[in-house]
Amino acid sequence: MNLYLIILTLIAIFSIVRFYTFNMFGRWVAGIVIFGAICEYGHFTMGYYFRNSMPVAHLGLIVSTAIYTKVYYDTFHNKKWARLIGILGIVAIIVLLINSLFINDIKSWPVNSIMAANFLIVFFALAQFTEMLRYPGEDGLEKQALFWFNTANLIFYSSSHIYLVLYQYSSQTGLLQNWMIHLVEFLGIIYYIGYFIVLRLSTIPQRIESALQHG
Amino acid sequence: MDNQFTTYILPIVSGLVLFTMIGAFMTYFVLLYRRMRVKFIQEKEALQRAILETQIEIQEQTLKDVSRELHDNIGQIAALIKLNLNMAMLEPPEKNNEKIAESKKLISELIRDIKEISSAMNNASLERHGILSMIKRDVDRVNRTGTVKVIFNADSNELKLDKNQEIVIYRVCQEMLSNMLQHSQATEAVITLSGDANSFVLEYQDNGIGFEPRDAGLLPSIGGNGLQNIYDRLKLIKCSIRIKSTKGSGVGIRITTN
Repeated sequence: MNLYLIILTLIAIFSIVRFYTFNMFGRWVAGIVIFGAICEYGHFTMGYYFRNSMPVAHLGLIVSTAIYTKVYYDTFHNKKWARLIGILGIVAIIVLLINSLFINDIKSWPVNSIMAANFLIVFFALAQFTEMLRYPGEDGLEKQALFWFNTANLIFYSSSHIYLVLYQYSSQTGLLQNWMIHLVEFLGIIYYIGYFIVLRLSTIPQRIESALQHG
Repeated sequence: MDNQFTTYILPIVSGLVLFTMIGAFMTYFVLLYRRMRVKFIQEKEALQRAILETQIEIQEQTLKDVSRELHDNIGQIAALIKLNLNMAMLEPPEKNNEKIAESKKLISELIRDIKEISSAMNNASLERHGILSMIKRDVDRVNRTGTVKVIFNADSNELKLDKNQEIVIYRVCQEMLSNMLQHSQATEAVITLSGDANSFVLEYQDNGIGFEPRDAGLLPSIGGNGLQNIYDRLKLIKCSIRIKSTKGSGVGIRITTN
């Protein structure tokens, strides 16, 4: 078990244990983390038993795109932008489904889907940053879960996109280097640490939680 | 050489370019956000100050209305009751019934008016009763003067303003009614309020003598500079105002959310 998997597992356990203490945004982010962990372990299991784990990657991309669409849709104040996010998300899910079923073989690496999903999530993050400028809050950025969520997404999905292209090229030409895999894992660690900060900031304070429970 | 380029140099260079771009974007975003946040906090503070001032003005206007009501209405009715009772004392007992019945009717009217004044003096009225019933109450009070007929239309099912909007819009209505009574010489006026918190319209139209827009800022107002105050406060709750008037053609006011 490598460091990336250890960190992902710990954050996923944290997400499950503290799930009901998060606000709605936090619960969706916890859902992304838990689903991410399930997919990672699904890769291992499928790979071990069937020698091919690519259907998990295809399914994982479709489900996570749907979750990201839902999360970003909910966080937009501007109704026009929220509608645009919703429409783009639905179109992307349909495109990913078509790609997985008819274009990209389901037993091969879903390179088209990854590229499309990466573009979409980077766009969502940039749009949300613009939205944050239009509707600033009283808290500093470091105390805003949405800021960390966007930052983690922007860094991970924009950089992993470039490395995906490189990885494809290298693996096809037989020049795949170990450090490339480690770099992607390193990006994954940064991404999940960013999500861990999001979860910490999305926790409903104990006093409020108790007040809510007691009506 | 070619292999070295694709395996080492290309990823390093592209990675550096990408992270520089993300870093530059994040730095720009953080700096811009700080500026927007300061502006937001300043605007929020200005709004809180304006709301506080508006609430004080609403109270002052209410006290002024109550004072006028006590003088013009309650005082008159009480004097009439006293007169009736004095006359009843002078008349034979069999003729007293009519005077007593009239006095009882006046006392009922007096009790109703005192209740209304008491309700108007309650500071939390706007919060408790909502803007629609408060405007309706003011319109009824104006209509009771008999000098002008004001019609108030509101879509009560749809309209849901937030607290700050209610305070400012109610104050604007108070100001409009007060100016109408004091300056317009109107005999009829219509106030329409419709929409919801995201988008609403307040319209006012009277058939009075009107005014030249350049004199608008000189109209008397409690604790402020007439319409300028209204402009500023409406701006804080993201509304704009359009006034259409010339001498002799009445006044039309339209307030909309931006």
